[in-house]
Amino acid sequence: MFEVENKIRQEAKRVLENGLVELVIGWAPGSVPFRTTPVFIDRPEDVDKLVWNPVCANNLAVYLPKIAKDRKVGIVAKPCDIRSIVALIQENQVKRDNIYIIGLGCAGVVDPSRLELAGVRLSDVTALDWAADGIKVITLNGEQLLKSTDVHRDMCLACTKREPALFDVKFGEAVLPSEVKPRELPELPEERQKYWSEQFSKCIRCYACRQICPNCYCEVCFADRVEPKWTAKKAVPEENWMFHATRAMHLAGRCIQCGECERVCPVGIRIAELMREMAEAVKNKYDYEAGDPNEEAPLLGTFRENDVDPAQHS
Amino acid sequence: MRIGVFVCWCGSNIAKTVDVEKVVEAAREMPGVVYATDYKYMCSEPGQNIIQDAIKEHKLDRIVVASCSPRLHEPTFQRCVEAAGLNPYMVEMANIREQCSWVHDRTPEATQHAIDLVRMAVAKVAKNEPLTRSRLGITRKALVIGGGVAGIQAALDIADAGYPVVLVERTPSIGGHMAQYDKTFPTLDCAACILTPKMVDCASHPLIEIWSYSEVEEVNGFVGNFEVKVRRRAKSVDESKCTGCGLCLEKCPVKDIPSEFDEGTGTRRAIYRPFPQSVPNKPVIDRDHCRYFQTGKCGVCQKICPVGAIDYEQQDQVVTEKFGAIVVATGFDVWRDERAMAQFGYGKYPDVISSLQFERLMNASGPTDGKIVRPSDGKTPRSIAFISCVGSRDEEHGYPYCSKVCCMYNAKQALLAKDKLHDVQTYVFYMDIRANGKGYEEFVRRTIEEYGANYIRGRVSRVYPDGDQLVVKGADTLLGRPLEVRVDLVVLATAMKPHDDAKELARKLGISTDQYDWFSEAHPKLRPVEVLTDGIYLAGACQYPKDIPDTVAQASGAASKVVGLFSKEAILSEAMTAYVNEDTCVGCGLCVEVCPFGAIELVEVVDREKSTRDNQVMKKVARVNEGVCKGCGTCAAACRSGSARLRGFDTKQILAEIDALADAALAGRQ
Repeated sequence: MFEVENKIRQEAKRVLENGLVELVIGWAPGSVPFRTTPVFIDRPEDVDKLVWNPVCANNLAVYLPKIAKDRKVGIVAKPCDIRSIVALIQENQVKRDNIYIIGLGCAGVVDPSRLELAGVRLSDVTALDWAADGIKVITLNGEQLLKSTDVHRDMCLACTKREPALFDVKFGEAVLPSEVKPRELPELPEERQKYWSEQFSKCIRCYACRQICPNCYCEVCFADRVEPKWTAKKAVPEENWMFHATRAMHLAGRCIQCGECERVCPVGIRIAELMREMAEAVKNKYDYEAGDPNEEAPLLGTFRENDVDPAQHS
Repeated sequence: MRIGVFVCWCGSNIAKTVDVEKVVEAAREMPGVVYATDYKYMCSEPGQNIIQDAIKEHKLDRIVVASCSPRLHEPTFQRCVEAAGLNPYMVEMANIREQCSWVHDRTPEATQHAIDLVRMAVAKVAKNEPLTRSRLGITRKALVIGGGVAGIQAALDIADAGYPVVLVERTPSIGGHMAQYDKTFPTLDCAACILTPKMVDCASHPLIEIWSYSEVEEVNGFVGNFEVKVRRRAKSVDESKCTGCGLCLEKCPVKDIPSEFDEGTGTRRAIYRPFPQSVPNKPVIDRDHCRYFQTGKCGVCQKICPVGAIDYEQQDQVVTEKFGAIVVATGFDVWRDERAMAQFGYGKYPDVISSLQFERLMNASGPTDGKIVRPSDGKTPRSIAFISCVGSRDEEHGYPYCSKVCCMYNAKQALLAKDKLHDVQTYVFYMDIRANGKGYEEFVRRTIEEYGANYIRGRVSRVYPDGDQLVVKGADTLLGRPLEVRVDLVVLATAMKPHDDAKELARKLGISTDQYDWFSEAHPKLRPVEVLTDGIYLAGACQYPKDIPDTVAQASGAASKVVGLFSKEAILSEAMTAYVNEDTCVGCGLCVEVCPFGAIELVEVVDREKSTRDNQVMKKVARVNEGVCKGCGTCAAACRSGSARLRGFDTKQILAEIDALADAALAGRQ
């Protein structure tokens, strides 16, 4: 970990010093050892703020459309973050030439809320690191080794794309999960409707999911429009349905499965599960995966002769 | 707001299912409606008078016509209200025929459905805004793609009307398939005798430019204002110097290239013209086969050319030119799928040939000087079997459609074979004889009765060799028995099919194709020459198999459409077009990808001025070219940020319709 972290710092320093970029976006230590925070570094002497550890959760691509519009920006990015960058390039939100990608091989990110469940006293934690077959938690009382399946984020437990697909420089090794966690959604349509009704009824309409999502870059979101008022602002079940269903449709074929929406949801709605469901449907029907640099255009802007007609294959 | 509602009976089409009077009564109660009435045929002159009189008498400012599909009569009623002084876009149609009366029995639900449709139209028309069409200029120059008889006829007709034409042909000469034929049914005119004068007319016409050995690469723009990129392939012969003397054709050492024009029955050289009467009559070098281009050694043609016309350094030229209209006349290909024709031994036994190859054998300018001989041994056949529907009407191996001309050329070839070889016995295996044209049926009878062709109704299952003969195994379904015929030569009437790259050209042109890749016309009956893209017209067999008279007739039809377009002062643009709110557009470009007309592009605009840095912040936004936009609304549907909108179908109009319907449902269908 420290080796990769050092390489990131050296590379950030190099590209800042030689003027390749004006700014490097990365992660810095958070207020507590089991969290990190986004950091924007524009002076070579500040690069030591950069860290790389199992709690570097934020998908930093969310900042690119605004920040990299008129300047060159370096970004430290996990494979899923890189898929976001690819999608943003394909949708004309950033120019490839404007970004310098410090890509990282990934071994999965930890959900801090699961540490406690795994028997860790959060107040004792001083650092986290990847170990050969799990996560090493360094506490005041020594080291604790935890199983990946117990502490990784759900999205990471289902992720097999742990190699950066697009980068200018790459550090670190990818470690694939020993098994892929299956989806847990009910099978029957009416049960699913009930499941999602319960999920959405919790929504307080804070829009954190939208704000954190790199793909939600519209200047005026449909949910904020007054004329026409597609959905009312009040957090009632039918309006929540309207918001989440429409957002899901707007991300159909575009979501790259970083899971940020679910991570930031204050009431624990399984939004990423919904996104994963959609992505699998897209993959099965159209053999398309969002964020793949080999695809030239977004799914809905692409027509292939052998595309299925969803009306006939639903 | 003063809305008038006019409910049409459409004779009994609507009135027998829908209680029209009840619809009128309900309409009178709808918000904004001040007048409602019904009439038997609203589109008729008295019907239109009712609307115009009501507009004056009741000071109506918005009109709903509840009748048929807007595709049928929206323009009619737009003209009607315009004549009465309203903006034509203040009319909404409620389609209570196709979407209501035709799909219901006479039930109260049908009437309720009609009322709901009217209610939605009333809600929408209340939000309509006047729209205007702008006037666009026209480049009065036509592009004809394809130099077969269709393209030649279209080019001549347009040029004769006084407008310049560029005729683009992919091969080195115009003439197309017709130039390959020997004689034409049912009059037995020699094809060359009637075609070559037209080819010469094209070449000598002051308003026609022939760009042979050229292909269309890219088409942009819209009706009246197309911009087309054409690749003019390097001929390696300087046309301004070449006199067409033909010396190079005799001296070129590469002699054994199968001639495309002769369908492989003869050979050509590496420097060649397809046939002696080629137009233009100057040769080209086939660089793929030329010894100089392949090995760097030879140069015989350059040494021998008395005028120094051979230019090995010539490069392809990509020419961009503006046109007002495009005639697509790219014709057809013949089916050559040897694997699918394995049962007939095509490609395996040399004496099984295609009809087009037989045509070359019969042709006096063909490889055998018109002598019909067997490809295998050069002997004169004493018996010939013609097999029809090879690949046509055969879903399993080929195409389900009928190629339309095979019955006739089978008859012609059987007749001509008998004419040339008096003691030949001809057999024609057919499914049924389709001879529906002027003089066609009589012609087939003549082949049978005067020229002794043995017509056998039944399909052939197999052709196999026996000694130096071929056995045609099939069935005579009229006699109900299996049949074997020994013949010296087998001629397969292979299906007509679209060119393999037809779809690619369609994509360049932005026109649609059917399931086989034939180009689609705008309407199968009433607009057979147009396509759905304005300013592009079809001529000949690129649309569907056609014989020569139909092809020429359609070519003249296409030409008259072009001439009609060019004789207008200006084109009126579409009023119901898309537009983009650049403030909210995020420039994702999805609309650009999904627009079927290529009407949208991303442009860079100033997002905001920045004080901290001495530059402006730019952003990309989508912008609609309203001349190209056809108002389909795909962009508006695809746009996530709601920035792409469609005039005449604005969100507030659509929502007004939905709200009207929902309100009625919630109120228990009052």
